[in-house]
Amino acid sequence: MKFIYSVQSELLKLKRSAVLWVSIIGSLFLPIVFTIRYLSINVHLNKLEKIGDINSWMPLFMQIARPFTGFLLPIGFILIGSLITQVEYKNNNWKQVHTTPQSFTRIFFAKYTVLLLIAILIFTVLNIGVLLLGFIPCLVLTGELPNDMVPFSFLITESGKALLTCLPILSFQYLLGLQFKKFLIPMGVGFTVFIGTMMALRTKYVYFSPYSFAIYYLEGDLIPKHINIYIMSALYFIGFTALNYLLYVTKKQKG
Amino acid sequence: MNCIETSNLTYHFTKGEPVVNTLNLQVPYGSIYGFLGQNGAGKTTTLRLLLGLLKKQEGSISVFNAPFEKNRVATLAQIGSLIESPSFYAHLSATDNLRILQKVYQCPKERITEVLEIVGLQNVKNKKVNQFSLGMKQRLSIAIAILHNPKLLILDEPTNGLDPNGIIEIRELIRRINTEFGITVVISSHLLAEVEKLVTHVGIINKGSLLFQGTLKELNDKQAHTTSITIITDNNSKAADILMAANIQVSFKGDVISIAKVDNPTTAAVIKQLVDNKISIYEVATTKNDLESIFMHLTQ
Repeated sequence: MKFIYSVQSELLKLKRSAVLWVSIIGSLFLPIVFTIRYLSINVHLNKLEKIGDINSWMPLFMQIARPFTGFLLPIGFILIGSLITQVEYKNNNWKQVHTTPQSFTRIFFAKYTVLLLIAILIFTVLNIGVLLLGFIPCLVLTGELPNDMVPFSFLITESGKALLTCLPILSFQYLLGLQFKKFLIPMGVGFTVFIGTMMALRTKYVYFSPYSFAIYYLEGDLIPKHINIYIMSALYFIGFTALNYLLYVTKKQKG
Repeated sequence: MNCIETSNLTYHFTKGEPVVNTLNLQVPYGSIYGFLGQNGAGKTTTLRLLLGLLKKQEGSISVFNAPFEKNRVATLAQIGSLIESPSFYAHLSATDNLRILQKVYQCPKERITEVLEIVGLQNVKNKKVNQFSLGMKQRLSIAIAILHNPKLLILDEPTNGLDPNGIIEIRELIRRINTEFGITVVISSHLLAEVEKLVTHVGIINKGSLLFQGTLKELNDKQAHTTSITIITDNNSKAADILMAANIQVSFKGDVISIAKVDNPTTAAVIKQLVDNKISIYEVATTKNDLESIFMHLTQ
């Protein structure tokens, strides 16, 4: 229960900040662009070319989720992962946080939980955006509902997989954000490694980069056959989390 | 009974000289303890050690008669603090800032209104903190520190940067918190004059070592021994001879007679001697020693 109070306290810090709005607008960006495009070229879900018996919603979702996960989301996670600790650094508030009656473990995971909740929010909004993309052009252009039922389990599973490929980025950026007071360092490192990984995507060992799995989600054909990007993502996520936690609790000076 | 006790507390930032050196602090329950020292003397480092913001290297810290390290969370639940500059989320209102901590401390929501009233910020409770003046920020910091009804308040230079009115306001507030709510207060400062009207006990730290610790009265007694007077007369050399004949040690600061370490009765005796010998006194000035002079005296 105490942990929930700490998470609530962390969530309150986001009030009046741009984090939530940026997350929501960023998640709706592609669905809105596609909706406008569909409406302008007179395309809707029922009119999309069917590939066998596959539910039309599935390619529609992937059309949005792939570029979102492979490009927009890493940028978003680099920003959010770096920014979440800035609220303490910028306000000179770590000392206040560390003199509250909370264990360091509780403080660490409360902030981390907020990051993960933002990530879940992003995918929830993205899915809402995809649903709107499916419904709005259909209703506006034909006055009918989509023929295929919404495959909720597919959307949830695929969203989970997409999120998983981005978690190494989120955990690594949180680590950098906790270690460096200056905001430009985690941002600079994040963007440099992400762009470097994109440029080196066709090289042999690029999958060692924690930023590669999200890009592989976009460029599925380039995934080396001997690796499973989901297992690798999970391992990186756990590894970075453990390392980050150890570095944080053993830090000699806390604020 | 002491609220805080440290034993041989020592801290090095690097391998050089210790910033805090075998410190034995004793802060009695219910006191307002003035922790004094010049800038860089080790005050903030000591307070950070007391709050667990720095990891203790040598010695021991006991707060509320229990080792701090083993009882960190339980102990912090009874401490309010303000270390160096005020801490809060500038993009939020005073109420929101208190709400964040109210969640963590799990104190009643009504407490937010109460503490805002205590520090006199109830009228600006919904204003963003980045629009506050420095004095308002300091008061909000104190509201944050007392939100959970702590037994101990640790304030590191809470009047830094305030104008004289602001200093008086904060001083009154701290006195009220101590007397009305029975909270033990540790307040650090580099100016004795700033806290001498407030504190009951004093600890003086210099280069990481405690030079003096005791009640304010004990410090005043020591201070009396370091007070000097300067005298200007119509015939200073004759006056000096008269005083030396009366076994009073005098020296000259330029043309002015200076007598060191005098208390009030001695000052009266000096004036009487000169008047009895028909010396005209133009000026007698008492040099009340500042903290720096007391340091010098204490380190001699």
